[in-house]
This record gives sequence, structure tokens and C-alpha cells, in this order.
Amino acid sequence: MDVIEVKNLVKKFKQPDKNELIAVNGVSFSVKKSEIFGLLGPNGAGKTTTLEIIEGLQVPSGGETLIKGFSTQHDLHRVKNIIGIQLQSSAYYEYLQLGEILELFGSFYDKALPADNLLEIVSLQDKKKSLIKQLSGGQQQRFSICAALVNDPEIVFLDEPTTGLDPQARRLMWEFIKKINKQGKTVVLTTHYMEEAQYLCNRIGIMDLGKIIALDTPKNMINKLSSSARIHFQPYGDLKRETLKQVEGVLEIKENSDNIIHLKVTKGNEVLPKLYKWAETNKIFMIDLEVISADLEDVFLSLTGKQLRE
Amino acid sequence: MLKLLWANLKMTTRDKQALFWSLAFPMMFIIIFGLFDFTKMGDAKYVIFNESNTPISSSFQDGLKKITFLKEQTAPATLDEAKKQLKNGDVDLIVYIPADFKLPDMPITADTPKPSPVELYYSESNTTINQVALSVVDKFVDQMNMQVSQAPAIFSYQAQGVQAKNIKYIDILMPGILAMSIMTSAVIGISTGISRYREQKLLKRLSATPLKVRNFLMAEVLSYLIMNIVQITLIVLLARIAFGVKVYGSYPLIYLISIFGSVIFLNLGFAVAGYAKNTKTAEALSQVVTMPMMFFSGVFFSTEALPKIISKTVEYLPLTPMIEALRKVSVNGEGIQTFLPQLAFMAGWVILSFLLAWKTFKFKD
Repeated sequence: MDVIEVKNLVKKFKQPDKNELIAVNGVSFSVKKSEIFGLLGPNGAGKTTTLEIIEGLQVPSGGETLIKGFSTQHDLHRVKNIIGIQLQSSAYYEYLQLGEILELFGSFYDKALPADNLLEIVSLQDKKKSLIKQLSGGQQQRFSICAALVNDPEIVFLDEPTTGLDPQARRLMWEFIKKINKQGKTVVLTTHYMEEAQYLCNRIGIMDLGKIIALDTPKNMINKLSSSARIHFQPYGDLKRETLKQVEGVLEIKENSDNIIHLKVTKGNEVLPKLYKWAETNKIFMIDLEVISADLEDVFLSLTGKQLRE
Repeated sequence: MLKLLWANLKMTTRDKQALFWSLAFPMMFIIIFGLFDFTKMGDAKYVIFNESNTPISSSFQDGLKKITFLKEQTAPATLDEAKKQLKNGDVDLIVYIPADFKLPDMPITADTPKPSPVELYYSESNTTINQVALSVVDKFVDQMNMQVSQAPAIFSYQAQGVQAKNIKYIDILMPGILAMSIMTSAVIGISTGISRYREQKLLKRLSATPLKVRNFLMAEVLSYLIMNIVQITLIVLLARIAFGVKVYGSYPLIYLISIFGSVIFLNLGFAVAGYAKNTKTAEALSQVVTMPMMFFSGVFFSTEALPKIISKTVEYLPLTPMIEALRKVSVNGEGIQTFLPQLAFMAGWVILSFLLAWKTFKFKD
């Protein structure tokens, strides 16, 4: 069942130099109930703009978005009570305690969860009487997530929920997001971190330059690649490239200045035994052999020719 | 909306900076100006050189001493030194009684040698003091002449003091300070507060909730009005208890005028917040709005002292009628009928400022 439908979304901005910036250029997708859906793409791809149009914070130049059948462009007030949002970098009242902020926001909705429960979801119960500025960056992000849950929404929108966090805080955040999803909530998030999309999301839409260039589960996207793995090793022995090229499944051979061979292969688990056979036959020792599975980084690269990471 | 109002009030009490500007700052003014004793500024300092040893010159000297307006200073060694003091403004008047100042022998005829005149030295630049000092000495000399001529006094006058209110400067100042503090806390407070909310995307976050814009604005305005009431009470209390300022009119009227004026300045604050792109601009713009009124609307001194052109334009600024109305109540003790034109003017500004705010203020960026 589709809880969110995005139809042919277009958003144009007028630039100071009179040119038009097309931030969202015909985006369509839908989100199923209780799934975690991610919009993955580099900065400037149009992810946040798309998300904010769905949330009703921005008005599209064309197209429409529906949440549970209600249009956010024409029926926004009906939508507001059933969604929760976390903005990319919004502050909360700096002179109110966390518990007070949650109570205040709760009062805006028809029904609200108690502050204690909300803080517990993100393990911040003991900070109930603290002020925002007394929290670390990671704690502040966690708070903004539980603030998004104040009205026990069915759908939660998270805009870059882990940007700016250290790896440990990031992983902690992932667990909280999974926890929320297990309660049955639909989660829509934007991110430019490939591991995040791969770890969390059931399905993702890869965005670049205002368009969705791929829409599928991460696994399917990777499997569609011609090369599903890379193999690295340091050769010891008399290496002849032509023999290596003939190994079945080897797509590409690169050698870098450190004398390490980088291979792109079709399927890691199929090519590996063939590679060992080749090494034995040609009397080559493969030192420090590594098999690296392809990831969304590779997917993005194959789709756009660009790196996802800046 | 009530929850938001309560939250706003809680935040104001915790925001030390806001509390300083709205409460401590105006109270500082009251304390400083209350401590200044302006009455001392009106006295004339004089020195007297008495070269004659006659009883009449001594009684002249004593007579001068009795005049409270004239304050005798220790005379320097020479007249020239005294003149230097006069030039520097340390002394306002020099009285020089020549050696031959004495009662002439009786009977006085046209041939009786007249004693040398009493010499008076005054500073030409100090006109007010001079007029009073010279007329005092003039009267004195007249009286002495009359006594000597022994002509029966035919004309006389009676002076009767009227028990006027003992209006000190601080009594006039307090309504000005009151109005000024309401203006600054409203304009600066709202414009910077809302600008900061917008910069930090708090407004954006709020707009994602079902909270209605009008409820948000109402809660902001009401919390400021409540703070105003606290401000007024504290300022008036401080002025009363510490400096004996008397409010001759009705207190409810003071609160009413203040709240009425506050609405104008809150609207202006919203207009500034709507127009300014960031907090720094909002701060600067609110200074531009409040500073001219702070100095020219009659907070510290009456607008009559200003050159005509400025005082004519200043009349149209919203703070001016507010201060006039407040002074009419506080100092003159008058009722609402006497400042209806000021109220009408302020009502016009309420509408104008509301339209300005309506036009420029947007909830979303």
C-alpha cells in the first residue's frame, strides 16, 4: 500500500542572475507502508527540496505529492497531524528544557506522546531537564528525531539525519531509526552516505541533478552491475598480464604505483577459485588478497560517471 | 496558544540578556538621573571684596549672604585672580565694595559727595544667572537708597507663595524612561528574537506543525505585553521608593497608555523582523528606528528645547505622543480627556504599524 505518492515533481528557483535553477526536474516515486525509503545523492541533487515539498514546507512549480491520499499542496492541515519531520539543521528553543520543548510541541497536535516516552526512544531520558546547548552534537540530533515523533506520526521524514556526526554516533542513530521503523512507522530519509542508504533502506531512489536516476532495492541495484566485486592483491612472481586477462570473469586490470593489482570481476565468489587456479598455474603468489563487494558507490559511478563521495 | 504563551514567558525569565535590556537598563537610567541633583545647577557663585570697613557695607555683605540663590565662595587674594575665575566659569559674579562706601553725612544735598559705586563683574555668557543676580543687587541698592532718603514708603507689594507640587526633574523623567524602555524592549526584543528564530530555522520547524501563524503571533505579542506590565510596575516602584517620585494621576491610565504604545512598537518590531534578512541587520535596523525617538521624542528633556524643524517632525513619531500622554497623567494628574489627540495619534500609528508588519512579515522564509 502506497502511503506516499510523488508525481512529476518540478521545482524551479529564480537566480539573482535572472537564470532559472531547476532543483527538481520531474521526480516521481512512491513509498510503501512501513518501509524505510531513502533518497541518496550528492549535495545539490535536489533531495532536500523534494523532501520539503512532500512535507509541505515548499510549494512545487509543477506536479503534486500525496500522503495517504491527501494532497500536501491542497490539504496540508490534514497531513500535518500524521507526519513528523526532522529538518537538516534546525534549532529548538534555547531557553526551554528538553521535556518542556516536547510538551510544547505536543500541544500543537491533536494527540501527543508523553515527553518521557519520547526521550526514552532515543535514550535521552536523563537529559529531560537539560537545555539544548548542554547537549553534544549527537545528542542534539537524537533529540530532533524524538521531537519529530511527538505526535506519534505514521510517517517520519528525516533530512540528512547523521550529517556531522562521528561514526559511533552515526551507528547509534541508525539503530534508533531501525527501532522507530520496527514500531510500524514509515521512514523517508535523505542522505549522501552510501553506507547509510545500504544499511537502513529497504528501497532507495538515487538522485542527481534534480532527477531520479535509479529506483530499486540496494541489493538489486548492485546485482545489476556488471562487476559485483573488486579483487586486490600484491603479486609475487613473474606476472604476465595476458594470462590474467584470460581468467574468466576478469573485466578490468589496473596496476598502481605500489605494485598492487586491482581487478574488476563479474562475481567475486565465482572468479576467486578461477583466480587461484591461474596463480597456481603461473606460479604467482597473491599476497594480501582482498575481495571487496561492490556498493552503491559503484552503482552511482556506473550511472553518472561521477563519485558519490566528494 | 496558551501553552506557547506560558513557554514564551518562561523563556524570557531565563534569557538573561533580554531581562537586562528590558528591566535592568531602564532602572539604571532612573537610578543615575535620580541621583543627580539638578537643583544645585541653578545657583550663582559669587565672591565679594569689601574694601570699606563701614557698618553699612557689612550689612550689605550680610544681606547678600541671606539670599539663598547666591552662594558665597572664598575670595582669592586679588581682584585680578577673581576675574580669572570669572573667565573660567568657576565664579559667576564678583562684588567689589570700594573703600569709600559709607553713609554720607546728613543732611544729603545735591553737593554731598556720592560714594563710589559698588562694582559688579559678571560673565556675559551666563545670561540667566546674570539677570537674577543683577536684579537682586539692584533691589538691594534701591532699598538702601530709600532708607537713606527716609521718604515714607508709599508703594509696596505683597508676595504670596503658592503651594505648588514639588516637581523634580526625576518626576518629569520617569514617564520618559518608562516609554523608552517599552519601546526598546518591544522593537529590539521582537525583531532580534524573531530574526534569530528564523535564522535558526525554528520558524521553519514550527511551520511544519499544525500551529497556526496567528496563534504564534498572538502568543509572542501577549508575552511581551505581560513583560511590559512587569516593567512598568518595577520602574514606577523603583522611582517611587528610591527617589520619591510621585504619580499624580491614575495608575490604570499609565498602564493603559503604555500597553497601547507597546502594541505600536511590537508591530514595528515585527516589521523590522520581516524586512531584515538576518539577526545582525535586524539589530541595526531596530537601532535606526529607536535611537531618533530615544533622543528627540522628549524622553530626557522637553521637545521645546529643539530647533523648530526637528521638533515639528518629531511630533509625528509614535513615541512623542505616548510620552506627552504619560506626563499629563503622571506629572499633571490629568484625566483621559486632556490627551485625546495624543491617543488618536497613537491609534493612527497602531494601524500604520500593523499594516507595515502585515506587509513585510512572513512566517516562512
